[in-house]
Amino acid sequence: MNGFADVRVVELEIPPRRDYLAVARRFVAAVATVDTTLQPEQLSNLEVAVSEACSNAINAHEARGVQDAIAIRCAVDRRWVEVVISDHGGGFDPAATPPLPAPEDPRRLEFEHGLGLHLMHALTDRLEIRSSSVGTAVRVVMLAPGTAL
Amino acid sequence: MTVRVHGDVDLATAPKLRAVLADCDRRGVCQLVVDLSDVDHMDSTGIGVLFGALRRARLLGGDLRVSATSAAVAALFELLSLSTVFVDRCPCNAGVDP
Repeated sequence: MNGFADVRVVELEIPPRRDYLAVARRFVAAVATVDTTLQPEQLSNLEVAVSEACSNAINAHEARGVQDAIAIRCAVDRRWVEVVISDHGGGFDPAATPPLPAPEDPRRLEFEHGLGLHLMHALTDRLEIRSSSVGTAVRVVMLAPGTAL
Repeated sequence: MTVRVHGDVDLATAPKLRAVLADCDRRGVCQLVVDLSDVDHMDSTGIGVLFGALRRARLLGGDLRVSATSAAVAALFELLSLSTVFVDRCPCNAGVDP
C-alpha cells in the first residue's frame, strides 16, 4: 500500500515500557483520525489491535532485557490505515502458538493469556506477522467502509 | 461486592485490577460484580484478568459478572461472545440484568 502520492507516513518510537502503551494507541488513533474515513468503531478496534501488538513487543523486550525502542509506523490514506509495529525482542513462531479453547468456552478460564492474536485477527482487515530471532514486525490494516484490499 | 473500574485496562494497569480481585478472593468474597462502565479501553490482558478472577470465584463457590460496560468494551465483549461467560449464575441474584 506504499507508493501512492497521497499516502502520509507518521512514525513514533516508544521505550519498551508498559506506561507507553496508552501513548502508542492514542498516537495511532490520532493519526488515523486525520483525513481518513474510518468509522469510530474501526478506530476503537485499531486502538485495541495496536495495544495488543505493542503489549507483545514490550513483553518480548522485557523477556530479553532489551532496551531498544519499539517503532510504530502509520501510513494513512483516506481509504485505509496501515500500522507496522516493529520490535527487537526474541521473536516467535505465530504458527506454533498452542490452540486454546474459544473465549466463550468454560475451559478457556484456565488460560489468562493467548487472546491477543485472536483479537488482532478479529479486529482488523488484514494482519501479517513477520518474526525472526532478531525481532518481530506486526502489520495491521484497517479499511474504510466500501474499500477493498 | 461491586468493583468499579476506571480508566484503561491494559498491560500497564491490569496488575492493579488483578490485585484488587485477588484481595477479594483472600477475604472470601466470591460474589463479585465488576462495573466497567467507566473503562474506555480494555484489551486481552484485562480480559485475562477477568477470566482468572471468574475461575477463582467459582472455585470458592461464587461467581463474577460484569454489570455494565462502556460502548467500546461492550463491542469487544460482543466480538468475543463474552456476555455468555460473565453472566449471572448466582441464584441470589436471579433476575438481575447482566
